[in-house]
Amino acid sequence: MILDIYKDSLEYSAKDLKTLLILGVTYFLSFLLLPIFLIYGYSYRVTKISVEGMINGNDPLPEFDNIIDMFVDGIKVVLVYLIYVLVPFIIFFLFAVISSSIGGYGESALMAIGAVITVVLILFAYVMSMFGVAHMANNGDSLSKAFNYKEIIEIIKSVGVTRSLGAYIGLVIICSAIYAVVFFLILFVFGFFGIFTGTLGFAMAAGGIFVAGFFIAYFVMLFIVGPYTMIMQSRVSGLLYNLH
Amino acid sequence: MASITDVVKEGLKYPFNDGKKVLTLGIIFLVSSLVSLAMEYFVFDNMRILANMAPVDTVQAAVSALPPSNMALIVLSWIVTFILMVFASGYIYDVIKYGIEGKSELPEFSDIKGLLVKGLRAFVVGLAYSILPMILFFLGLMLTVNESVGASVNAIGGIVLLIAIIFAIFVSLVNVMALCNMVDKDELSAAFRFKEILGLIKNLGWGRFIGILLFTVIVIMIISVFFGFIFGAIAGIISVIVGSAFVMALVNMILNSLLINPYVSIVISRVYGSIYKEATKTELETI
Repeated sequence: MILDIYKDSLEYSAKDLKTLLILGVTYFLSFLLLPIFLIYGYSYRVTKISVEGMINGNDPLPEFDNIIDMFVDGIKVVLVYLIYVLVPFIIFFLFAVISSSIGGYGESALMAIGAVITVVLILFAYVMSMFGVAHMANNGDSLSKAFNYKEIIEIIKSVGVTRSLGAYIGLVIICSAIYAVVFFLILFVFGFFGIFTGTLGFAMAAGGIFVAGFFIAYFVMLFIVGPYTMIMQSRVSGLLYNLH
Repeated sequence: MASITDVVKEGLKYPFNDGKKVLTLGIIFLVSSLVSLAMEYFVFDNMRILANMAPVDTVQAAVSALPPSNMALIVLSWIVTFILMVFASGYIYDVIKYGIEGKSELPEFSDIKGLLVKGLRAFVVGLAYSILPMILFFLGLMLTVNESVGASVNAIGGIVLLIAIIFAIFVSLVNVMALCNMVDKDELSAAFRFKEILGLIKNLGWGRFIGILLFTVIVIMIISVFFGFIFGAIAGIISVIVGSAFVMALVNMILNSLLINPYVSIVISRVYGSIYKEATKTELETI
């Protein structure tokens, strides 16, 4: 089941290169703050389509119309993520404050425990927030539904707690693998070019081509792989939600 | 009942229904800003004269050193700016009214006398609502900063200051609903019927009320930051080409006051109108 979801999402995100490019440019402009919300707004539309669709259901990629709606939806999604991640953050902060006032061996031991607990809580916050956004998408974009943790926990239970956790951990692994593969691909390609021009006698150019080309291609890939993984995550969260 | 984000979304889209009117409001803002900028330009020379004269013992000596002709010009510019701003407030008044009635068009710029009267009303209400918080704030500030009184008085001053800030926030919230009440009833006195106004807010729900306003503030901030960057970049490029730093400030100000300020003002007023519409709508449903 989960593997079907992965396969569907991998194919879905690769459907249209133009979409990825548009998102990539928006990613690139994200230092201006507003484009970030457009990106999350688009990912919310993906989640919505997935929640209303099904696995291998031939759903289309969302459009880029209604920019203001996309912008405001993006703000809502960011709010959901921020508030859910606030909990582990506060607990980590508490651990840091308490342990720094103890000092000595107690400090390191307590911080170690605190770090582990925080990581676990971050995982839970991640799963909860993803289900929360899907729940919001399923219930008419209502922000309050995203924080209705009782309902969300019911849904997670009906999908299966281990299944959900496994699906998201697997998702993180897949996304990391995609980044790694692309990285090494670029490394290889430009390394090859570097060696090639090096053997031709352009020793300086070899290094230059390698480094420059590497950085350019790396950033370009980042702005395509980035949107790709984002669409994938949103699609997985929507399809997984449907399993309840 | 429209959700919080629906109200804000509708407000954000509203100005696009008639870009020309937004630009017209922008021109009013622009002229006012240009007048202020020109005055700052002149005042700079006077400031330099005053600075060179320092230290100055009497206001008389200072003022008499200034070129007399400029003073008249400065006062004139204040009057012009004030009139323009009253005019703009009158238009905003109408935007709120259209928001309450749920009209999708933007108000006209006709009936100049009416606009001026409405603008003055809005100005008076805003002023009246700010008096008490300001008094409290200055009291707190003076008690806190004063060194000749004991430390305990400074602490009391700090508490007064805190109370003043909270009170100011509360007053500005009520001010919003008061403005709407005045616009709907078309009477200046309607802005001061506190029982009625507080009842309206309770009807809407303080949570939703604050939620809508807060969300609007967040959205406006994000948009302002974004366009601040873009306009700053455009202004920077133009100023580099022309070779003057003054041009950068000028272009930046022109773009901002012509485009962003009117848009933001209209969005906020539209949201105010929608808030009032929601507050009165829920009243009907309980009958």
